[in-house]
Amino acid sequence: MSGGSKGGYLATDIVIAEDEPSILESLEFILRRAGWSIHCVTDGDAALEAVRRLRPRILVLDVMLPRRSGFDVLKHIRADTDMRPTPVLILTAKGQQQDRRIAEELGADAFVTKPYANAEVVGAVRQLLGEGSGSA
Amino acid sequence: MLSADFVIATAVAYVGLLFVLAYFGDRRARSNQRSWLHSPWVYTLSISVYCTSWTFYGAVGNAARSGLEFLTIYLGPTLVFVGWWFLLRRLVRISHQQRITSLADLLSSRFGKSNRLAVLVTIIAVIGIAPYIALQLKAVTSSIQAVAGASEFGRGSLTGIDDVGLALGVAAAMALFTILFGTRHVDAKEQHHGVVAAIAFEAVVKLAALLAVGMFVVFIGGGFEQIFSDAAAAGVRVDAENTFDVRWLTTLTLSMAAIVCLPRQFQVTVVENSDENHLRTASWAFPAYMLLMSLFILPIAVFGLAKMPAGSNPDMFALTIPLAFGQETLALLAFIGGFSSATSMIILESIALSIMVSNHIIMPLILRFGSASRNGGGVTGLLLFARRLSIVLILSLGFFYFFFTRDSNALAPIGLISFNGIAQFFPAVIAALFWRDATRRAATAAIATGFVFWFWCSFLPSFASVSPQVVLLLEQGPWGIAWLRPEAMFGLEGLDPLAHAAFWSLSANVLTLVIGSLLTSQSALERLQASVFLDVFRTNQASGGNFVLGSATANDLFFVVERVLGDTRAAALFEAEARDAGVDPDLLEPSPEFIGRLERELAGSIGAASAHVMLSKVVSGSDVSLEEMMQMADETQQAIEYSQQLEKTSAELRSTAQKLEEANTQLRELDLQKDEFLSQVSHEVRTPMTSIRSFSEILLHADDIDQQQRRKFVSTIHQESLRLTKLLDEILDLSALERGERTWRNAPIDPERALDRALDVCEALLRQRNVSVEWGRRSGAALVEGDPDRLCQVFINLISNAVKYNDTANPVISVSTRLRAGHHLVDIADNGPGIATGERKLIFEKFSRGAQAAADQGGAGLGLAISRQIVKRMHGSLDLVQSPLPGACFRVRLPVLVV
Amino acid sequence: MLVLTLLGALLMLPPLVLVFNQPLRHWGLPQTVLYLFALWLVLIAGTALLNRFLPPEPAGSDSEAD
Repeated sequence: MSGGSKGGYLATDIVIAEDEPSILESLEFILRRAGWSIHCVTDGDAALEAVRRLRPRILVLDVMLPRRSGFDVLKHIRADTDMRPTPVLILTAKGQQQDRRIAEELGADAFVTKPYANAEVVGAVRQLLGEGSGSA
Repeated sequence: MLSADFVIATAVAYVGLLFVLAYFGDRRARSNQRSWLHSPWVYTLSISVYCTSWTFYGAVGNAARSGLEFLTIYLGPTLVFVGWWFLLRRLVRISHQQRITSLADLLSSRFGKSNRLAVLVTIIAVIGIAPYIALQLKAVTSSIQAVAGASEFGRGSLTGIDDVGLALGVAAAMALFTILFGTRHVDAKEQHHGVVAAIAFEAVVKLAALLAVGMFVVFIGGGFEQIFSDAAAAGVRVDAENTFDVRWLTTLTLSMAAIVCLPRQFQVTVVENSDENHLRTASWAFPAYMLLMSLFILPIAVFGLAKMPAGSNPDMFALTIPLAFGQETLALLAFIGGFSSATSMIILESIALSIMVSNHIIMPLILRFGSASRNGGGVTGLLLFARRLSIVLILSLGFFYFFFTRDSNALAPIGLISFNGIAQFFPAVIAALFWRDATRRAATAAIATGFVFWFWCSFLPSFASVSPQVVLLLEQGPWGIAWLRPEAMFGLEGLDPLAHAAFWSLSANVLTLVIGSLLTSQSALERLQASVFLDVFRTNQASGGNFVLGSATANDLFFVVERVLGDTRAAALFEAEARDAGVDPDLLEPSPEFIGRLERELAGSIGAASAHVMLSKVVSGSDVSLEEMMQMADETQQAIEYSQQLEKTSAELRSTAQKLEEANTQLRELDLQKDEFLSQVSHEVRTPMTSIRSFSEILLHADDIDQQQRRKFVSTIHQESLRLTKLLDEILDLSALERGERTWRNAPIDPERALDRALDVCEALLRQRNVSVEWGRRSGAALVEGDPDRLCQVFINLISNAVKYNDTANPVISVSTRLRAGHHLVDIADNGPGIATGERKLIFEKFSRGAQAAADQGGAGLGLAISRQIVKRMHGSLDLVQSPLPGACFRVRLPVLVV
Repeated sequence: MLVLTLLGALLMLPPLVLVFNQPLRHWGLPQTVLYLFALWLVLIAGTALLNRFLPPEPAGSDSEAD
């Protein structure tokens, strides 16, 4: 996987797209604590916009988003030559096999079901970023 | 001493009594369907009209001459009644279904409603019965003579009047009496309750009289044993070796046929039957009656033979023995008994025959040549006139037969001639009931053939005593052809004349019927009627639609039916039909079933064939298409019936399968809905769970968090758990509401007060968000049916929605209420973002939230769904309406109670 | 019922009836007479008895009401 450049000055490591404020807050907290820079959005359009503009190393994407669903966002990213390489971690509260299958078909790189263990999310992000499980 | 005048006066008085009885019987039967007249006992007694003066006088004579032979006349009918389940029950059921009015009607109906056959049967019946009527006239005449002849001065006004004159008088009186009795009105079913009542009464009288004479004889004879010993001593033998010869078999067979085919027996047993269950009683009671009648016949006969002077007429023993012993009262009783048995026979026989003659001969003639349906007079009057004419004709024939054969002595042989003639119908009747392939042409030919043989071998020879030509014929045959001698056909000599005649006529009859049926084929209508007759116990429905609709209008039909049945009955029929069809009588479209019913009603008055012809004329142009239809539909009548049943069954199966399929689809839909619901519930539960878990893990593992942040996280966890609780509560609430399980009490409440309360509850929220409330106009107090707390819940939900989803700078809520068209309306509007057109329907669904709704609103999207359910339970509605403000406007609409 | 009817017919026809047609007397009455009346009684009683076991006709079998 070709990672973006790590540690650029204003570079954003992770864009989180999540509409539930409390979940967003917790995600931001744990990922920031793991040492990444974070940008948060709360709807699908904003998520696309953020990926296009910020070129994050990874997108953490909720499925149920206002305005544009997570799957739709994923589809657009994979259809766009510029954004295509961005790894995407799908978060879903439905957790059904069907959701996982759709996500994989659309080219999601990882899939995490809510409610998750914090370590699970951090581990998945770390793996996608190609980092070892060193820093906590 | 009895004088003839006294006896005749007694007879006239007796007839008067009968008339009164018949009159009141009729009135009673009409006013009360459940009167004793409808009891099986009256029915049984009326059947005993079979026992005529032939039994009363003739059987004694017969016993005196031929020993036990007289018993066969009663044993034959006993067999028929013992086996009622096979023959009589079938006959009665068919006749009820087809409105059969006579034997001729039965045969004509079975064989394709052929009027020609009906005419033939009628003519033969009239001729065949003539000797029988003559027998009664002879018996009555002889009995009067016997009484009068007993003393010199006894003749009174009879002086100078011979047998013939007396018989003529009796015949005339009988004709008058029968006309008065039996032709006062036309009944659809040809049931004569009054006559039946009188007949039943006569049955009791004649039985009592014969029993009285019998007991008297046994008493003066010194008991049964003594009588038989005395008789044996006098050389009288009853148990002759040759009793059980061909004659025994012949008379037994003839009497079996007679109990079914005699016009009067058919009338009382079949036509006058008002309940099939009566047969059950009659099946043993009528044989019992005959047994009682026969009990003393033998003792009377042998006693008479032993004790009465030589040369006495044994036929009159029942009368002459009491006279000889000076018992005048008993003799008078015996006379009345014999008179009873004669009158009942004559009355019923001529009524039955007159029905046949008028229905099958006179009416068809009028229909064909006259234009009865066009001229002013109704058919009813014509019908009655035809019947009266027939009665006179029948009695005249009887009288003439008596006149020509007056010199022959015995009664029983005359009766047997009639029996033999009438028995010619028996093969056809049996075939009609049991043989599907019997054809009209074969039946007609068989009856005609049998009749010719009977006429030649039995009827003609009975005139031997008055006509030398007949004697010559008997001895030499016509034109000297020996093998055509009436009593020795085809060289069959030495046989008893009765057995001879019965053998040839019935053999020829049966042979013609069988061979003819195998050679000829049935018409469509015949096949149809054959199935109706043979499947009478299989199909409960009489075949209705024998007519194909041509251009017949209800008016035409009414015109015809009115002529026959009279205005009242016709109107009742048509009105009933119109009522069933649910239309105005003037607009009635006659259905084939209805025409079929009319035909059966008409058949009740004028016979099946005439009714069919009459209606065919009206239902114009239908005959051809009817035949064609029959040909197609009738080929396998049975197959069709079965296939109809199958079709019905399979239609039922189909509908059941369809219902199951629908239920299955519904279940699958419900299952899908349930899956969807569970998935949504899962989502809604997982969301707060995620924050709770995540934050608790953070708090568990990270020690480096400051106090303030820690507090914030704990508070989030708390809030999310509250949200979870609320969500679960709502889900349970909604499912209970949807299933309608929750005990729900609607009471009259004021919705305005519920609204006020809701605003009170929301005050804190409103203040917190800086929302201002604008009041529109208000309806004032109103009453609706509902649960105040629930209604309040709805308002709170609407108000908090209006607050929560409103992100404008100066949020405003507008509330207004009013009464309109019997409903109380509450509008709650806001100046928020409103609801996109595409979502207007969705927002009332479970777990749906407007797209604008950011996640921070904390609801699961069940609020509107619950509110809508609640309002529905109050018989109202919750809708999204045009808003006076930029945002959304919800309207609660509840029906106002009218107090 | 059919059996009863046929039996009755057989018993009152030759040749069976001839079995009893002998010039004998019982209680002063000819045997033939006794035999025939006894047979008659049996038929009546048998029918009355059998009728109890036959299903009754459905009510209202009297065709259509009028």
